[in-house]
Amino acid sequence: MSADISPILNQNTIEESYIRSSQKMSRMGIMSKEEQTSAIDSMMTAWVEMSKEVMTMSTETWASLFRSTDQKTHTANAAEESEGSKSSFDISKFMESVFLALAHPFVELENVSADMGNRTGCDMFRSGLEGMLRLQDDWMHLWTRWGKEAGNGKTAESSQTAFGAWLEDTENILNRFMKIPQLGPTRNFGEKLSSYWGAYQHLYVAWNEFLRLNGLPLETSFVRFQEKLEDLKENEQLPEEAEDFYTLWVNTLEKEFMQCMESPEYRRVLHRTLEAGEEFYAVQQELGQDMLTYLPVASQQEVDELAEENYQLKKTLKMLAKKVAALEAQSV
Amino acid sequence: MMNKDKAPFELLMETMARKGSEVLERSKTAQETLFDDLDTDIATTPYQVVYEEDRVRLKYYKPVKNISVKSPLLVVYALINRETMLDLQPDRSVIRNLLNEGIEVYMIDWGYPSKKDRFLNHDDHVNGYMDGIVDYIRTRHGTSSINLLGICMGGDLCLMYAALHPEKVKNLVITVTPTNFEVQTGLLHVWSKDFNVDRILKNHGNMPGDMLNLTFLLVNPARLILDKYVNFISNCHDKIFVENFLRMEKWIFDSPDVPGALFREFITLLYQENQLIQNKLELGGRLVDLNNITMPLLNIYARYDHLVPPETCVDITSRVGSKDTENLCLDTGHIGIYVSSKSQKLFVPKIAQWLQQRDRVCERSPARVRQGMAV
Repeated sequence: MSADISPILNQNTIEESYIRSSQKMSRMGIMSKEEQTSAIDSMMTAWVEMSKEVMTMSTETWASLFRSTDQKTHTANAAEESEGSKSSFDISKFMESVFLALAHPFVELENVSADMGNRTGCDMFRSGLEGMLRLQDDWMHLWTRWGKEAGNGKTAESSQTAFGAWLEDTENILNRFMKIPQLGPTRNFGEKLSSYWGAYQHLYVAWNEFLRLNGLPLETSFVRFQEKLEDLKENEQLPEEAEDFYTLWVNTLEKEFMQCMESPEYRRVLHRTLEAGEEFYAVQQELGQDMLTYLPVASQQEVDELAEENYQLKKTLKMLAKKVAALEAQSV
Repeated sequence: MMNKDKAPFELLMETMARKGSEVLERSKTAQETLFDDLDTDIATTPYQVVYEEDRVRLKYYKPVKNISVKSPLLVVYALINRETMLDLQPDRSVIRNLLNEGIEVYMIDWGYPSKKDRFLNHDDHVNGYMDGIVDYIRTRHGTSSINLLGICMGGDLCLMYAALHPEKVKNLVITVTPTNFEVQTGLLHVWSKDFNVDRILKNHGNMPGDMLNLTFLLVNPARLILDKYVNFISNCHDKIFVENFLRMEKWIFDSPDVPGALFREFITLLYQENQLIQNKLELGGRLVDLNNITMPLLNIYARYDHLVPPETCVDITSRVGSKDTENLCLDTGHIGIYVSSKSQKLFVPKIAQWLQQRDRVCERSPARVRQGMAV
């Protein structure tokens, strides 16, 4: 195969670009808000550059692959080539144009955004990416400063902000795409799939936040445990047995969990996770019920209606039976 | 005392390394125990099913000694988890202890509600199933009233029943029963304030037992998700411990769904609106007036109860119409009150003594009243 694979050589440049952006992100934990905004912009640029390079590289690779395949086919079938085949549909050119079209928004991101004015798709994309970057930064911040700030709640606060931003962006950006009107005979199915995907996004974000919040007491418990050990060591009261160390830690963990779970923040996250889970379950069930309409079985709604009627009838019957028994007892 | 120059974590690692051989030895024994025939049966006390209605069954336990309490006792368990907890293992069985005290025991088994039971509410359980059962027992024993023992949420059902049918209840005992839901202690109370019950019930019909289980685990994850199993691993070499642990595990994760309509009422009318203690609750169009509870009332609760804190239990005795009331707080937890070895010596003997004082058998078999029991 004579495909041009030179774009792959640019991989080093991409890695460097990623490392640069990662370094910026890890530094963000100690930057001011203005510096963070500026760093986000720089990261955006780095990401856009990287995306441009990736898409260009991928497009060029695939395009050259198709060119090479096309050339081979042409050479092999040279004898059979006729004027008719020249005018036929050229698959390689079509694919090349598809890849270029796909890469276009990334390559021309800045220009398109400027052209389309207020809140275009590109702006939304940028906003979503910013949210993701803030989140990524928060995670990096958390990992690099693990245990150092948990004691004073800074980590929880910053995580909350980043998750909030991510959630907001997800709702603002992704849900807009989910609400794009569906057309044609499969409109109904398309809408259901969109809502399924939207519900999944909600659940994903909520579940991650819930897990993160449950991880915080674990983190703080280690900090407190360390402090307690230092105190015990100073007083020469360190326990001898591993079990005693464990008991000390698990008691600390229990207290930290209690403190966390009584907070309004935990309640909020718990209820949102529950809501998101139920939303996803409902959409899933709805899709399942839609599938069942093609089969000769009763729907859930029909079964529920029957069960309710049965319940009402049974209740009335029991009440009447009691009254009859009472009347019979009186007459005797 | 350990080396002062070493860092605490270094010392911890050192002690763990020293324990290595011991752990290895224990794991060998643990392997033998786990592969051995384990007796993990629960609810082994013999009983007869004497009454059935839909999914609900009534278990009758034949007395093993001379009867010391005149009227039979009906145990009303909660609709959360199963009544088998009261007969978990022979040496820690509330049922066996009651029988040994000379009390004739009936117990309601609420069964496993299915989707068709989603419409059943408090009215159906209290004025329907419970009333049917009480009437059956009254007829069977030729008595006008019986004694009631409510467990947790079952205590609420008993209070509602006693308020609506006071003439059929001779003595009322409620245990770890939440009645004042206005308090801010206890995570369940805090979380349920803004709990959207309709959303869940719309999807599932009933309240899934697994979801309830998960909630109970979340109330204390350090103990219930981590420490409990660490403890199990540490004691895996002890066959008796393993068997008891597995019995408890079997009971905990045997969680029927809760009928949807009843659960909705329990959360909205009790947890969120606190209607019971304010005499605002209505069942089947009738007001549940606590002033109608004029029979003797014994209210037992647990000091370290993380699900139903003492604050939620204590007020009921001052809100009922009865003058013969007693509060008793035991130094244990929500489940420990029924299964801990310490409670075995306090819980049932206290109930028996209290009932014997108020409903003693004089003619055929003399009551064995215990005097001056310290609790």
